[in-house]
Amino acid sequence: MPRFLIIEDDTQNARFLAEGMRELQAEVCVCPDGVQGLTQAVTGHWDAIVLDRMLPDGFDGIKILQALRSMGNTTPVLVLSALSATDERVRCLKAGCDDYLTKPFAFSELQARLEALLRRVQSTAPAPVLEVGDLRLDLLSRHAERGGRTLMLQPREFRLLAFLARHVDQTVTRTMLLESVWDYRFDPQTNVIDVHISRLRNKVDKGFEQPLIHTVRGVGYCLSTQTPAP
Amino acid sequence: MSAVTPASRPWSSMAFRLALVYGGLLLLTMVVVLTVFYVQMVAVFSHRMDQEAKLDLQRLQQHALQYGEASLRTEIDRLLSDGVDSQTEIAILTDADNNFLAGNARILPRRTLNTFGLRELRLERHGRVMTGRVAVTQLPSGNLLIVGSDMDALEDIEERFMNASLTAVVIVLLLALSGSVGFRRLVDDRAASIRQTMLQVANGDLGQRIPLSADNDEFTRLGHDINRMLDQIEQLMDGVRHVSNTIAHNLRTPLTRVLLQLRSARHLEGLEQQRLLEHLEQEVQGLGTVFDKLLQIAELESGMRRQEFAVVDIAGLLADIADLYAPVAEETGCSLDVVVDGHPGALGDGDLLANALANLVENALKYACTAPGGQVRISAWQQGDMIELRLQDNGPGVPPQRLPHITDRFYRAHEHQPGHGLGLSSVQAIVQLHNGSLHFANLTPGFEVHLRLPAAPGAERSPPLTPPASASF
Repeated sequence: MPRFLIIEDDTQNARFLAEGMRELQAEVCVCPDGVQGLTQAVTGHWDAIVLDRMLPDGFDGIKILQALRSMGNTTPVLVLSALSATDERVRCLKAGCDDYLTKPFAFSELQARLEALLRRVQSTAPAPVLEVGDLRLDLLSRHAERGGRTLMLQPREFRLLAFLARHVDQTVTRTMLLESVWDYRFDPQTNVIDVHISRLRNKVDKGFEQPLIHTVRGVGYCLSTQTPAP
Repeated sequence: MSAVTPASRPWSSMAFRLALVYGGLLLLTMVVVLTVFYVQMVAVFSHRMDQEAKLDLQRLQQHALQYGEASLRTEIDRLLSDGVDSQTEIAILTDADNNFLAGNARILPRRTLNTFGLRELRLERHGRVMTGRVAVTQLPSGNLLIVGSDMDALEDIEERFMNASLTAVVIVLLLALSGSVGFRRLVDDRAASIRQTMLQVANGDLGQRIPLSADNDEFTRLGHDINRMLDQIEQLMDGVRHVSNTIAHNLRTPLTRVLLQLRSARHLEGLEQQRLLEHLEQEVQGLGTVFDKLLQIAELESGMRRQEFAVVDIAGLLADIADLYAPVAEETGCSLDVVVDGHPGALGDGDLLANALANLVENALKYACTAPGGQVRISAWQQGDMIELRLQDNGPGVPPQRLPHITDRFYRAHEHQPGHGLGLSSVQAIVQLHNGSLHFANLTPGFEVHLRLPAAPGAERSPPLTPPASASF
């Protein structure tokens, strides 16, 4: 059972977050201020910390993050912020956070990003070959095959599939895909990612009985051998 | 509200001080001129008197030498009675002991003269005591000959001159004072109309303007400048009001919708409720997007992000955009082509430029690629120190009367299409942050966006790393 620490001064917000995470069978602890939060972060053992950027009493998210990292603590930290400016994001990443989410956000987005953080810790060195069911991706030779049949993928499609495979059984959002596969940070207004996924789906799932790429409604996509619960 | 009052003390008025100082200067000039004039005049006058006295003396002396002293006496009498200068001229012959022999005046007091030549001498003539300017000489017989003129005439002129000068000074002083007061009133009146207007503006009535007179003087020009400034401020205020109104409208309307739907969600059950809640989640996320966009535009307009600028490879950026959007075009049987000439590099923020281009491409796709045959074409090249980017489509274009407004916040040229009306506002803000320019034009048929960005200094000199990219998807 994953253990999460939430450092957030808005009690309502914190309660909703905690409830949402408990629904996902996680153990959650909530700290309403920076000092208490830092103490908990250092003394407890956590799989990930959700940290609010702006906390009362001048002891804000960045300071906690810096204190934590200077003590050699490497627990993944996801910063929640009402500040959307890019330099804010850069500041937090420099201070040592692993991901950054702007308020308001959908809970599903937070969930997907937390899962990605947990996975990153578990597999720090990516394997050269990824396998999901009968799908096989060789990251070095950039070769993809399914059921022994070679898939003719364009470079970008290969990267897209590789990203999904690295987060197997895990929902990834459209924003995450645009950030990781195209390396751009902006919100496309149209369904551009959906179009790319649909093309990829044509090449990966067409002609196979079991689909691997699943749409998670209102959230994003998931590569899995099982159909995820709606 | 304090009324517009003239300056309380005269001295605190600049016009008054200026006029007074000017009057003072005028007076000083006049005094200097009069003094110079006076000194010159007196000098010329006395010099002439001296010359005349000397000439007459020489003549009489000559006469005495030639015809003897007896003849001299008749000559003196003749001189005095010839009717020329008889009022002022003086001629006296005395013996060495100052006993009167001939002439028209007597020396006062009776004494022996021992200074000769030109001098002033107190005399008594026709019973009147006066000062005479005379030349004195001793004849060979020991008698003294004194010739000259009465100084009363000069003194009289001096007195008249002084009186006239004093009168003039007094008149000038009065004129300067009344002029100062007059000027002050005039300037006060002109300034008052400006101050009156400014006071009304300060109290919130931005529509007030300074009344302008027909003549093009300093106050009219000042008034004109202030009026122009007020026009500008009023326009900006209108813009701000419009933006706040549209923001309020565009946030309140969906909020109201969400609230109403939340109410009805209470009465629903099961799957229906689930669907409505999901829909509501999307609505709220949409609101968040509008909010984010507005904040982003505000942040861009404040120019805060310029510090993070780096050289952005435009060819690479366009290739990425094409890679991202070409499949979307292909979905409807349309095409997206990118042609880049050379290797232009812009100084900027890659994410923002990608965002702007993605916005433009999305727009083009939305309007031009609704049916097979739609084309979107992006071309880029460097010209001088500017990078030219042209994005053309063969869609329906924008009605000409809507063209000037398409970058306004929340303005939507095609109301039936989904969107928030913020895309082109943010493109505009991004382009402005990069010191570029953005123009829109209708083609026949189609629409063109012309974007110009300053090239990164030195970037155009580096040779292209790859042959000119010409990608077609």
